[in-house]
Amino acid sequence: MAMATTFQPFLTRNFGEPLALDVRWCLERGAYEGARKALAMPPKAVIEEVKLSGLRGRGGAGFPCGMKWSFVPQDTGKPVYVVCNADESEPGTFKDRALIDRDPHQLLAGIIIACWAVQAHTAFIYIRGEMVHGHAVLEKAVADAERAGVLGDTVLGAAFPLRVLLMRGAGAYICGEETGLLTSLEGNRGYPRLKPPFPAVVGAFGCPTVVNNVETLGNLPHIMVNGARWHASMGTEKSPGAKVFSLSGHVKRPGNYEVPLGTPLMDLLDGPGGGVGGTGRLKAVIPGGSSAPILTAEDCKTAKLDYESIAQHGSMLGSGAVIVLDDSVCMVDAIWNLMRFYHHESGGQCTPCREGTGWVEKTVARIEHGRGRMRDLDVLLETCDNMQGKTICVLADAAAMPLRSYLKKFRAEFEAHITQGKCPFG
Amino acid sequence: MPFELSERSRAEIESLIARYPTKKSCLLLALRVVERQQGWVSLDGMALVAAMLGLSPAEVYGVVTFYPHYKREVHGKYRLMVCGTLTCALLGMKRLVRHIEERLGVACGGARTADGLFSLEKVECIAACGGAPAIQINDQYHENVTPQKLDDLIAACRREHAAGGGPPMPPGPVRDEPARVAHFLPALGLGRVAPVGV
Repeated sequence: MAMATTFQPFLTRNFGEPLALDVRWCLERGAYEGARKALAMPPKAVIEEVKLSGLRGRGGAGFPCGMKWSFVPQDTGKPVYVVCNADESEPGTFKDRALIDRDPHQLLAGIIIACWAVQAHTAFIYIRGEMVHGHAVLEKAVADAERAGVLGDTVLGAAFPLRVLLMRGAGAYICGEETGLLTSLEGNRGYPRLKPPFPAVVGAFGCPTVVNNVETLGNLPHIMVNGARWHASMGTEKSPGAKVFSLSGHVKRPGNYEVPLGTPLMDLLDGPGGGVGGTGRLKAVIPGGSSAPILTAEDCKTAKLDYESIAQHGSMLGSGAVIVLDDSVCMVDAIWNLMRFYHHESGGQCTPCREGTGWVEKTVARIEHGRGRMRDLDVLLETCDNMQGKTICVLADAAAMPLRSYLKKFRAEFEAHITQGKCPFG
Repeated sequence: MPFELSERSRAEIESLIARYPTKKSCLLLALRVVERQQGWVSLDGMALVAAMLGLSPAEVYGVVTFYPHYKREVHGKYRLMVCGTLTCALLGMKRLVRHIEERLGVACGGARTADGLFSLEKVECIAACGGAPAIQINDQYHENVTPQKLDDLIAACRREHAAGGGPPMPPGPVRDEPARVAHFLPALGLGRVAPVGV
């Protein structure tokens, strides 16, 4: 943990600074220096630098950013688009909302770098419809940037026309899935599309498109200023850099905390988080948003906040949303809540998901209400089998993965509901 | 009187059409223009947007009903959206919902108050888990909400309404919505819109 003591937060450094909304202040403070530096380099060199930094996508999948960019063909004769995914909807996650509200110019600087790297002259920011304030902040930031010569016909003095267009969602989780987002951006119901073709080749409006998360883009200016080596020196070999973790639930000080990847989970919880709240006794942690399989208190002792350690513990780092559950929580009630979420948010396009999420929600509700049967537990697992890997997008998997993990790690609680004919937690 | 787009709304939609890659890609934002002018998105508003974007009203209706965040006729002037997902559920969401139900005499997810001022619904995670339990009232987020704070918020809404402020009041449910969806196009004299291919 020598690193954590010397670690200087960079993504969140302006969080207490209201002037970060002022483009002049940002320009004076060098917020656009990374973009300026990138614009002076050949686009391919920018892609190489980001590859070298090891930056992985911060939206949930953790795909290497530079590699994603390198899939974009430059010889199609079609425009290339960059789309910033600001449809933050994974339960437990609230970092992108903060990154937008408190430091919009960091995001715009990242967008300029991504656009230059893949030679896109139009970028979209697709923001959740609920985030009315964030949308207003971005509208102002884009307008200010255009007036200041940061965006527009020339970008920071470079002959590289770039416009940033905003799009507002309207309350559909599925639009956070990158192909669902693109379908929505085109003015449709947010139905995901089959991959391949991947968006890098056939994305928005049939054109090559890069979809990057808000936090991923926010990292870019810092990587360009400080260099790939600086970024790679933080975190672990396979999970370089730092990440903003959204800490919520039964924790004394919930909030967004930026720490180097590889930080022990309990250090986040006990350090900035101030320790377990509620009853003060830890039962379980969801480490990466509600789709992530659950970790028991025992798992948490050894889990570290990086992609490989969380995977070794049978879960995923996902969006970095850490939800803490104390020992008063009924795990059947908790998973019922999440299955209701996935049922509600299923796009309805694929039968295994549309029907499967409904079945598992009803079955879990029945168990929670004390009317379950022992064979319901097998029915749940069979339903998971029939959902996972059988749909266009991974929403069905995102529902089945946590359900399986609760059934595996907290099976005794499900059985107690059934044998007692009621919820033991009252 | 059927709803008409104001000059400002029309100009705004035209400016979207000029800037976005396709007419259709303006749909989600054009619906927000209607929502701002009217206070909700009506069937008439959908038909007008459809005509401006060269879409069929049925297609627009299909999009509006896919996205739960658009404000519709059924909602109250003040739409109370309580986050019902896990973190908020762990930290007192049920107590808040019960409190509002008792205070306002409405059912969660049910009809709005008799005076049309309030409707109550549970929504999915609104990315405010750090301030759970959270609620959105129209455009505004409120975090770390307690029953006391809710009473204050409701009182503030009532004061704003009494002073003649706040958004327009939606008219309540459209009685024959399914039938109107099938027929509202000719009723508005917009029957010339060509069907749009896939």
